[in-house]
Amino acid sequence: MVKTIPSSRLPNAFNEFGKNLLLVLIFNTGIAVFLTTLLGSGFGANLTYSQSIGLSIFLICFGWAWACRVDQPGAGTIAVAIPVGPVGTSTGVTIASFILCDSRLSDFVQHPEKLIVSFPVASVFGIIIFYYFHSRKRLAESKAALQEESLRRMANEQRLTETNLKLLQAQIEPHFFFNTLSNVQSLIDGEPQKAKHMLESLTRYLRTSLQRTRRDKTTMGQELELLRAYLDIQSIRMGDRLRYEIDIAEELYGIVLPPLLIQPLVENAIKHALEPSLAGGRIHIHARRENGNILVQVSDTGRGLPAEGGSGVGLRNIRDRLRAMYGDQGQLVLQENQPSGVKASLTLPLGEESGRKN
Amino acid sequence: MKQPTAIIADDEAPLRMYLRRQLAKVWPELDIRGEAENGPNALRLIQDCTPDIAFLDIKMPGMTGLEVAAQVTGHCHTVFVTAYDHYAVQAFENAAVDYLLKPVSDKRLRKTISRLQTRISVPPPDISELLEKLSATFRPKASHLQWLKVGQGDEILMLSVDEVDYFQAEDKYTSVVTKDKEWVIRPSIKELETALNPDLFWRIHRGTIVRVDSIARVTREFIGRYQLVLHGHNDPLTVSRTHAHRFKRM
Repeated sequence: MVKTIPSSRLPNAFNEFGKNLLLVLIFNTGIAVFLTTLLGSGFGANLTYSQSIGLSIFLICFGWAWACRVDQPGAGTIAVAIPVGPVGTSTGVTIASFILCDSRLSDFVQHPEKLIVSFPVASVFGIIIFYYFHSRKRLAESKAALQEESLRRMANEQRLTETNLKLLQAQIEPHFFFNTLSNVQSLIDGEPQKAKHMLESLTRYLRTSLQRTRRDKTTMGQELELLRAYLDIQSIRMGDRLRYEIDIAEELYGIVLPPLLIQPLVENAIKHALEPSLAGGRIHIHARRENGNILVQVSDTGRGLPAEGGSGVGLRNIRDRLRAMYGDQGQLVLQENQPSGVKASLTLPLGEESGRKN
Repeated sequence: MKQPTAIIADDEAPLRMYLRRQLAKVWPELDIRGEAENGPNALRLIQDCTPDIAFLDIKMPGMTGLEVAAQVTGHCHTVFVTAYDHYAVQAFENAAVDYLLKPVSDKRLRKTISRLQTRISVPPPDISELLEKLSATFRPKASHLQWLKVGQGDEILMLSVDEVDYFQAEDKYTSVVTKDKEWVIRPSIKELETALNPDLFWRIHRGTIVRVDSIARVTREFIGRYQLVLHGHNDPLTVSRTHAHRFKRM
């Protein structure tokens, strides 16, 4: 599916210009009507003058703002906006006078004070118009930003729901089950002890999975029990090609954390690093307290992550859940392990600790 | 008549053993000359023992069963053993090659054996073409760049491209910008453009590639260039005219 930018995010420059132009025309007409009713002079002349002056101010404002690429008016820009009124007025008067072929321009030339008298008013008008259009733009932008924000929140919520669903699914991962049962079947006749052992581990795995009553919390001890059952099964399958070590002090077993953070890392290590390798490798799982956080490290001595693909989705799932639960304080970092392999480091803020161990 | 010979290759020992015992039950005359636990060893074993039949697991470290079969086609009858996979089964059915699902059921094995017994007297066919077609099914889809190796102190960090907000060309290298950090890598913008998923990453400028999801808003100077405002970054990115077409309102 080709990705496109939603149109709510795209600007609409010409439309904006058109809208503003229309407003200016209406505004100028209003002024002409006002002057006509007030002074009783000809509407046509008033209209010509007001449109001419108004449009001149508008276009000068517009053009100058475009030339300076101004986004936000500050004191400096106001200062420069001040002469826009008078310049616009003079230009407008000149043009209108030329169009109507009347003497008003020459009249002003001879008696400049008549024109200059209007300059302060024109300046004020210029600044008002400038501000008006600018605040309309700002309003439109903030509306767009708000809409953007609510869209993003909805998308995030949806992603989180999907993530949680995937999590539930992962707890009862079919391939793993299928594979394990295949192995049990093939061992029953020839090596019944091993078959029994595998079935026991599988039962333990299931029991621990189902014992999790809360979707978003478990203890380190429970997580490790699941992990041990899992690794037990895998090591029967892979034999010498999988060696592992769980190096976590018992005093950390009561720590509360989201489920299925560590196991996917171990699964990744087995799937991408160890299984494809001829010699297999070793997995080391370690956790400790550090600076008020819990640091969990899963390192393997496999062949490392290939540049293309592999484990992108699983790790994104972990990151999403970390962000949902801990915001910026939860982190997943992957590094190259020496001499080969990957070291995945999970940092979790130390929250509550469950009174009961395991 | 010469006793028929075979070898078994599978990376999981329990399954090798299981197949061996089943064959002993169903085809006791079959002489199983050896077992291999990975691709290269399977190939070596076949070359050394020259068996009539090779039972090959598909997913093996080092070399897949298909690759091994491609090397020995014409010299050895091959039977593929595979874990259940919808696409795999389809592919095998279409290619009309012998295959077994693991764990192997007695009934299926008997059928395959009787088929083999009739064909064993003739030399094995060359199935290179069929294998070519099959390997297309089993080959992982052409994938895009997912991981970047960046230096951090004296360690090397694996950075997922999902975390990158944009790439920016610098003098002799490329800068990688994430939400709160910046890194440098060697590949050029041009090289990155070909490697990255084009649906997720767009080149917006001769020197910039942006991750589309990180774009918060597109703004435009009055009658000028497009600019991209990214989530969490203050400075907008400029879109060059050549690439502006992506952002035009439809």
